[in-house]
Amino acid sequence: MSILEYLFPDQITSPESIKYNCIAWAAGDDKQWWEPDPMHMYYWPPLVPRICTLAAFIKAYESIGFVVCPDGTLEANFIKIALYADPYNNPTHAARLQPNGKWTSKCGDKEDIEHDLTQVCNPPFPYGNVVCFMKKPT
Amino acid sequence: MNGPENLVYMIRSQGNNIPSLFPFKQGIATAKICVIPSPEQLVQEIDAYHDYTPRVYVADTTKLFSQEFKRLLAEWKEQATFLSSATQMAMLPQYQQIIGMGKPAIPLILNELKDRPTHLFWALKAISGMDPVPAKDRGHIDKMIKAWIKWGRQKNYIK
Repeated sequence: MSILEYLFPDQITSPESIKYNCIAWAAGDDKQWWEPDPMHMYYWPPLVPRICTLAAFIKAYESIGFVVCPDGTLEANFIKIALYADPYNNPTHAARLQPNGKWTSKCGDKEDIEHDLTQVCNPPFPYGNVVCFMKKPT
Repeated sequence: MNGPENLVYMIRSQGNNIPSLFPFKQGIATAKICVIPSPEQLVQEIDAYHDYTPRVYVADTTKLFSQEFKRLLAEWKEQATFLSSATQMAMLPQYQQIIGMGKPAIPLILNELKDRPTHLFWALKAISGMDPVPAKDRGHIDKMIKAWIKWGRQKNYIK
């Protein structure tokens, strides 16, 4: 049994994979790992600053049609995402709202899980708190 | 026995035990070469001889090196659980220690990448100074692994 199976019984929605991370998954991409790494080894949207700041992450999602919005409530005909950051406002995680009102997250190189918004804000998850919501038309 | 990176060389000469990392320049004219399985045995070997015959002790540390790599890797994986950023993963102390193991770690990293894919790309790039992954394949983990394995074979790091 994996640690996520233990923590989130019946909420696992995919096998473990290192092919994509939460940032990609929130964007709807399960084919590549998104990261603005300084070594330029991973995918990051073109023309978006390759730095790990909230502003850069917002720009990354803006590059695929998202705009910042005030909350994470379900809204007809919109996809919403939540960005998480540590106490220093460094982005750490992203989740996507599903039509059933639950959020879906890829946890590092582990499985995808379905969860409540703040369920990944405490240890063992190192994600901090939700600092921004964004949305785009479906 | 592997290449010189995996060997510990020590020299004993004229009654003086002179530890020295290879390459050493002690000017010994003749010496007996004693191959020992591990550095630990070096002390026993030195204690066993009291005739002051110059000897070069060569220990194959490959096994110890591999064990240390596996230990660091296991600890790193535990620490990196749930991290969404390969950069944050690479900043963990165990990962930095793997990078510090240098070029002899490259075959171990490549084999790990092949058998149990994980985010060891940063280590490979940091150690080798190379990045064989085409720009279009950045982020595509399978293609990144394939490119590094191909590179490793071309450079004879792995078969």
